[in-house]
Amino acid sequence: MELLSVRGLKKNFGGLAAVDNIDFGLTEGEITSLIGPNGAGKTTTINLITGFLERTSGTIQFKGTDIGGMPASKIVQLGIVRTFQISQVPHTFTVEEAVVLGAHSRLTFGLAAGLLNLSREQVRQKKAWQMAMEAIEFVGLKDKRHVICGHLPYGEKRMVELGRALATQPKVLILDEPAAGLNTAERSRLKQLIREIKASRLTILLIEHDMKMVMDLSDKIVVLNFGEKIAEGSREEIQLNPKVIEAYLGGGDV
Amino acid sequence: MMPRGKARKLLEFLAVVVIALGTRYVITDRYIQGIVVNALLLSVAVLGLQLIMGYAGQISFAQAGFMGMGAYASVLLTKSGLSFWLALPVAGLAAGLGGFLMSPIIRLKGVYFAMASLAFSIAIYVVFVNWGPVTNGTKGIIDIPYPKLGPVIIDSATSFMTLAIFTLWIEWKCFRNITESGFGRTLRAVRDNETAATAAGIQVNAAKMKVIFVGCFVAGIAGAMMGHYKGIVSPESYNFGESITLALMVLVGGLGSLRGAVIGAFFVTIGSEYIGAYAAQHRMLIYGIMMLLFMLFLPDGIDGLVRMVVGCFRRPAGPRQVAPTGVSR
Amino acid sequence: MLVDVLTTGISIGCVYGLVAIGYSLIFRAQGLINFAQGEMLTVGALTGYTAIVTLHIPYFFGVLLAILAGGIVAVGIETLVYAPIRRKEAVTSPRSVFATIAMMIILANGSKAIWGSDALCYPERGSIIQFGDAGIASYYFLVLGVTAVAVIFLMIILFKTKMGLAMRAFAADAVTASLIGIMGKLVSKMTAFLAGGLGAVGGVLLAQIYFASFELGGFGLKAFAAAVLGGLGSVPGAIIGGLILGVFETAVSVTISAAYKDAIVFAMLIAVLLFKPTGIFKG
Repeated sequence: MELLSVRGLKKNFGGLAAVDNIDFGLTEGEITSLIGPNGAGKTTTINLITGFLERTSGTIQFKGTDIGGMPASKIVQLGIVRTFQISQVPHTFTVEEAVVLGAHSRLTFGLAAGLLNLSREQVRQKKAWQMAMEAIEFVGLKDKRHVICGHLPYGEKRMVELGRALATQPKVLILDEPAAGLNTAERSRLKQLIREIKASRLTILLIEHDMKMVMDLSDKIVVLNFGEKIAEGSREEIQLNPKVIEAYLGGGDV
Repeated sequence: MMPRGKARKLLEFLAVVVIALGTRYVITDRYIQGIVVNALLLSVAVLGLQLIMGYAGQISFAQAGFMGMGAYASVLLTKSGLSFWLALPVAGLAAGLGGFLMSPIIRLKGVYFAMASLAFSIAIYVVFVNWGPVTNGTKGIIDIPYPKLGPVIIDSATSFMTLAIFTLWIEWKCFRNITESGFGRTLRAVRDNETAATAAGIQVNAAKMKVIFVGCFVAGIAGAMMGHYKGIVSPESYNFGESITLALMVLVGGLGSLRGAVIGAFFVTIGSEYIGAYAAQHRMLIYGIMMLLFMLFLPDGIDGLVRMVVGCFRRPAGPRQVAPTGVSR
Repeated sequence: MLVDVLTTGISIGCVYGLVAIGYSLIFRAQGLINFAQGEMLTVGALTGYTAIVTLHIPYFFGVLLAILAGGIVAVGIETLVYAPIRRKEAVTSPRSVFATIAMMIILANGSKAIWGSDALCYPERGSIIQFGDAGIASYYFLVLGVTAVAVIFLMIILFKTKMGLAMRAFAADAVTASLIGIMGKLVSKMTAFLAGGLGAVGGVLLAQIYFASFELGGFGLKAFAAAVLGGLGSVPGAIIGGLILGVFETAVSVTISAAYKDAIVFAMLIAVLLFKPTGIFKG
């Protein structure tokens, strides 16, 4: 079933079309990869889907509803969650605080409840911490959960962000170049984690330059170049596609 | 035997009562009592500003203006016969709703919000000065009735000290709850990294507006109490310079620390007395130098300094201790 | 009437433009909004006064001294205050913001302490030039001329000198620039000097039109509105923003109300920030 679909999506910056008439869809439970040379419009597409950018035209449908004009926070609450190329974590938070932040998409932590420390506030906190602990253990940061995020190395900040994304209990997980800056060992761990996430029946959209990872993980690959979709298909189809090869002359790790 | 939690709360309440009523016997000098009342009432407003600046990360130069809104509201209501105890929450509400006027600029970041709040502060001041029929312009409003609690008239430094201590304590408890709650976490996330907060499903602008409402509400309360204490309400007390002074108090005490807000208020108020004695005409210059020195050498304020010193005596390294709610102190 | 509005508006606009260029230069190079920049007007106007009126130094050299004063103060602040903080924290952090605000307060009130609170007047210069019915004071042309010279001077430095090239490289991409050996510290100081000097020129001109006093910083804040209007970071934008603001403000003060003109300017600033934050020209 197509969970998320993008039709005729366009984004203009002044006179330049960063994303030009893109169609593709995410099948539920599958890993779809979005690849293309730098500047092809991948992150822009993600920003459009997740509400961080406003589209110029086209539709973005999630479970049949058009989410095109919605604010980013609302889209997260609907279950579409993303991570960033440069991991965005609150620098004064400890790891566990940063991850539990994800629970804020599912539970409402209101001002009044907090101020009066009502019992429902305490109940929600308990639930939130449960959700967070599962995510923290999954990404393997249990031992570091009291460390301040600002003090973490790059790779671990990635994991914190991933943990937070998982703590939102998403339906669609969008990862924007999660392997960037990771060493080989970290990459294979990341691959393993993504496989496990898929096994728990999440739908994943992956942007990556690491071609090996893309080929190993993806059920479907969508290729962008200069803001347009130039190919879509299985890994075999993409590897043999002349347009893709041409676009990538000199690019990507294989 | 009462459960431990309840017993502790009762003890705390009794302690506050004792302090509120007993301070007048410890601090007997009239002049010092006046300073303490000033510092306490300003603390009420500065705590609100700390919530806005230190926890939500919005730099605001309009806090004094909101104090003024509360002051004028309360004073006008009591002069037309309403009881102080009813006028007070209305004053807070008036200021809090005034805070909503800042909602269009809420999506401005950092410096731009600061500038806009400055413009706002000037606008409020201009209204105070020019809305003669209501505010009596620069002449101000006098003959302000004192609050009455049954047979007790609150008309002296000592009685205001008691009132202020209770108010500050209630506010402190409420703010402690907020900062340690899920909403407090929301605020800190907004302050640290708005993108991360949004990506976690937090409605950033809504959170900011709520906090501004609370911060302005308490500013209104503080302004109202001050108005009744001083016996005069005039625009000069609520101008841009006063807002800067309030911001200075937050910085001096320590941005991001509730304790710091009270420390800063007392430090600057007492310091201001010395300035008044020796170099009154250079007050703003000295404040500017103070701000600079703190930003250069003590960016975490006095509270930060104290925590650093105390930290030297704690056991080093190891994971930080985290309270059950997940808030690290 | 229209002539008056135009001459006053354009002259004030030139002053705004000079200060606004300073804001844009610094923002482009460091991403910092330096609130102390507005106070360069004060520094320039008052040191100019001391040089020209108190010490009877010839006008031209007095202006040079004022420029030097502005430049040196700006470099001093950059070296002693901003650079150390920049090493520890982002330029948008509260600590940085309050550091610039503290400098603004110190410069304004420090000037008050040194020069007092009176408005200090520069000696009358030039005469009235007749254009048919209208008479325009010749020093309005002086203002225009000096501004043009200052801007040309800046352009020469930016585009014809090695230092200027370094500054532009740095503004475009600081990391790469430092990799190829361009000394960030020197560039920062030079940027500060230029911003301060330009602001000081504006101060002298402003003092010629009105007077010199510690309160001139208010004009400086409005110049920030001009910089935003033209697009923070753009030098031509700053000049045009300044001119537009100057004429707009004068027109408002003459037609609607002199008392509320500042309020209207601030309202315009907020409107620009909300709806077209990149200004009229992209930075």
